Amino acid sequence: MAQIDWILYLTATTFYALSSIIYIISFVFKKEEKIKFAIGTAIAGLLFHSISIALRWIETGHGPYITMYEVLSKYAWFSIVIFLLMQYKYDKLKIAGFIVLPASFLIMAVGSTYTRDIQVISASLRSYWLIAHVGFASLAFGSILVAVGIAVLYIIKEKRSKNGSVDEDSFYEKLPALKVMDDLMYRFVASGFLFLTIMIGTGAIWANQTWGRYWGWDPTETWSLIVWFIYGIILHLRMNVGWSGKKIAWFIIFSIFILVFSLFGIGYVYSGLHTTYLTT
Amino acid sequence: MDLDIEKQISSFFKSRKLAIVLIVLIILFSILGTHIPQKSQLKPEIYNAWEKNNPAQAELFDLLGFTHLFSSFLFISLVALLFTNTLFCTKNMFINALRRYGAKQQFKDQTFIDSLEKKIVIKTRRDHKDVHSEINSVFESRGYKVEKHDNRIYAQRNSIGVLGTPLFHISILFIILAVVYGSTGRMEGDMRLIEGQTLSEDHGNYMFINEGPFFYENHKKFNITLEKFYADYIDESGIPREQGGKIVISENGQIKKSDVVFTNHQMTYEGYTFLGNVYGLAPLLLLINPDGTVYSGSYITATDEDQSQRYVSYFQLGDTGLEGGLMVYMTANLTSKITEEGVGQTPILFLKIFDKGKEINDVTLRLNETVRIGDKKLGFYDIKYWSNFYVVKDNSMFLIFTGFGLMILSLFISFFIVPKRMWVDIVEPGKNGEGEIHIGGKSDKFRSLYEDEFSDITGNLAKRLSNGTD
Repeated sequence: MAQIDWILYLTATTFYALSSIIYIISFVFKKEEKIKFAIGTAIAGLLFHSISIALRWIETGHGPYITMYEVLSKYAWFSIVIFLLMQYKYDKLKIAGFIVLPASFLIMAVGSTYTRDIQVISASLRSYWLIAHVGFASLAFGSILVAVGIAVLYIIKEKRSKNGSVDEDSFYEKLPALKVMDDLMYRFVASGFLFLTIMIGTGAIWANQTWGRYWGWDPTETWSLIVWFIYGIILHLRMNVGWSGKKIAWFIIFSIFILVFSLFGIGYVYSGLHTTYLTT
Repeated sequence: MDLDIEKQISSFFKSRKLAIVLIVLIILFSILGTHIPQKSQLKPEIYNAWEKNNPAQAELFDLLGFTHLFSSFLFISLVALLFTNTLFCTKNMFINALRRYGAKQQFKDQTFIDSLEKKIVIKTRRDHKDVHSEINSVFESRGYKVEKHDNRIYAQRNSIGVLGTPLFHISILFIILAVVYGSTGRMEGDMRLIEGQTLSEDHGNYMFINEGPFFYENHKKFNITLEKFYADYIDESGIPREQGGKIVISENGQIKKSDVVFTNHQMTYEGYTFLGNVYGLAPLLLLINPDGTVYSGSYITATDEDQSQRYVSYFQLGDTGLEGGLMVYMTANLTSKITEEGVGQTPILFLKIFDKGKEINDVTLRLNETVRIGDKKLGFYDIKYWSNFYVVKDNSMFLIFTGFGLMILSLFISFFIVPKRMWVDIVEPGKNGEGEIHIGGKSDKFRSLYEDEFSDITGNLAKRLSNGTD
């Protein structure tokens, strides 16, 4: 079974790579008609990916949240699911996949470099709160990645609008209005912020259950708070200080690097309670 | 003058930009706190090694309070300022939100409606009563609460959404207060128990103890017994849980509570929570007089510092002035398997005795073996597990998690229950017998996304009522 889930993982990664290439071609050469192939390929990839996760789940007896191979696979899966649901609802934003698909492909590719050995789940990780904690972390990442995709499109469209080239260029004209994209960025960041809050809350409950304290300023905990504050600032600026559009779009794009660091990079920089969990 | 100062203070703390500045400063300090070794997070030997290798840095950071940054005056001041800022902002925000939530009908005329971003005029020849009834039916089917007065209609949905943002700020204040309350009244400590040993819940029985300034030493003094320890505990459903200790709580000779404490499975009694912690082996060493009576002796708790399953301890040999060092290990764990045949459980003890630093004995002992020390015999007569239990009393847990719950709920209300309002002004038919229905709508957030809902509602109304729209 281990071999089958690995083959399916690689197949899914290949489909995501194909989808990314089609997306990039569609975006660079403004071939709107090709996007449906990119989405079809992403859906096919997701199908293989889902079966791969399910088989691994059966084999290991736990969900995709113990080893980095599993964790990264789960992040990519959530990102693609959130993107596919978003593009189903907002048809005009299909092109945002040119950010989400390559990012998910990269996550899968990096995941494939980690060991696939099955690790026995340690006693401290046997908690339903952990499942909720990592589940909401993935939802937060997926929502914010989609927000980044929209933010990039916003900046491109806004630049073209200023140059007066949007009307001549049907590809960008077909994107939603700037106001709509601005609201969608806001909505996906708001969802991400809600998921981050739940992630921190469930993590605190889990920490209290395992270590007898809900917060300990461990580097992972501190960075999750930093990320939460950053998205809090984005929302505060958007809601109360009147920032919108391009400024917020750039803020969202930059903030994803901090989010990525807090989710994947901390284990390599700091030592702490979460370190082993976040590096193997 | 006083009023001026009051106003200035109020406007300073009400500033939304101040919130951003404070949050940015907290972020920067937090980043600093993850880079500078923190005393509270590192094992003393690791911290001391860093201090030894970087004396100048360590001295500077210690002076600035950066080695305990998250409890430093500077950091706490920033959090206190953020709390004050949030308090000032929330006060106005909450009053305004309540006012809006409680506000009754807001009937508006066509001038107001025509000034809105989302608006439409439907022309109709239907009579007044019909128009009212159709609008009512369409609005209500979309979840709007409809009120009417003469020719004007006001409809709203999700009005509770206005409370989302103030509630979120209240939840921040609530959590900060709960944390302060918790940390000042909290008690945490480590209690070491050898299998079969009973200790009372009292200050002196903890190996280490931290008590907040408002804990007031109100220990409950109930008895805690470690009845049995399992190095490889398997729970009732057959799941391996690593180590577990069966704790019995008793008061006045009566058993009050009993449970196996293992990772992610705490036991709570009278607000005291017991969590499993480190464990080790405790060999019983007795110093025997030549006449066979016991001169002195006890169980000596040995720890496995390097995770090698070899347990080490240094000890004083009663009042003899001699010192000892021991290393003990089992050929198999002392688990439930102890009763099974064929499982080797032999403890092996390596013992060195020193007299003023000079080694006088170096022996290997098995159970019930002895070694001669002067005119006495030192014997190895028993071995048991010991375990530390981390004991916490923190009355703020419930409040903190309630605060988190409130925060999640308020964010959901704020972003997913968006208040939407619609206004209608029905203009009586003119000479041509055609009346005009002015409809406008507004959403508190995500205004451009409201477009679809507005178009859908007005499109449906136009279909039902009109002979054309413009």
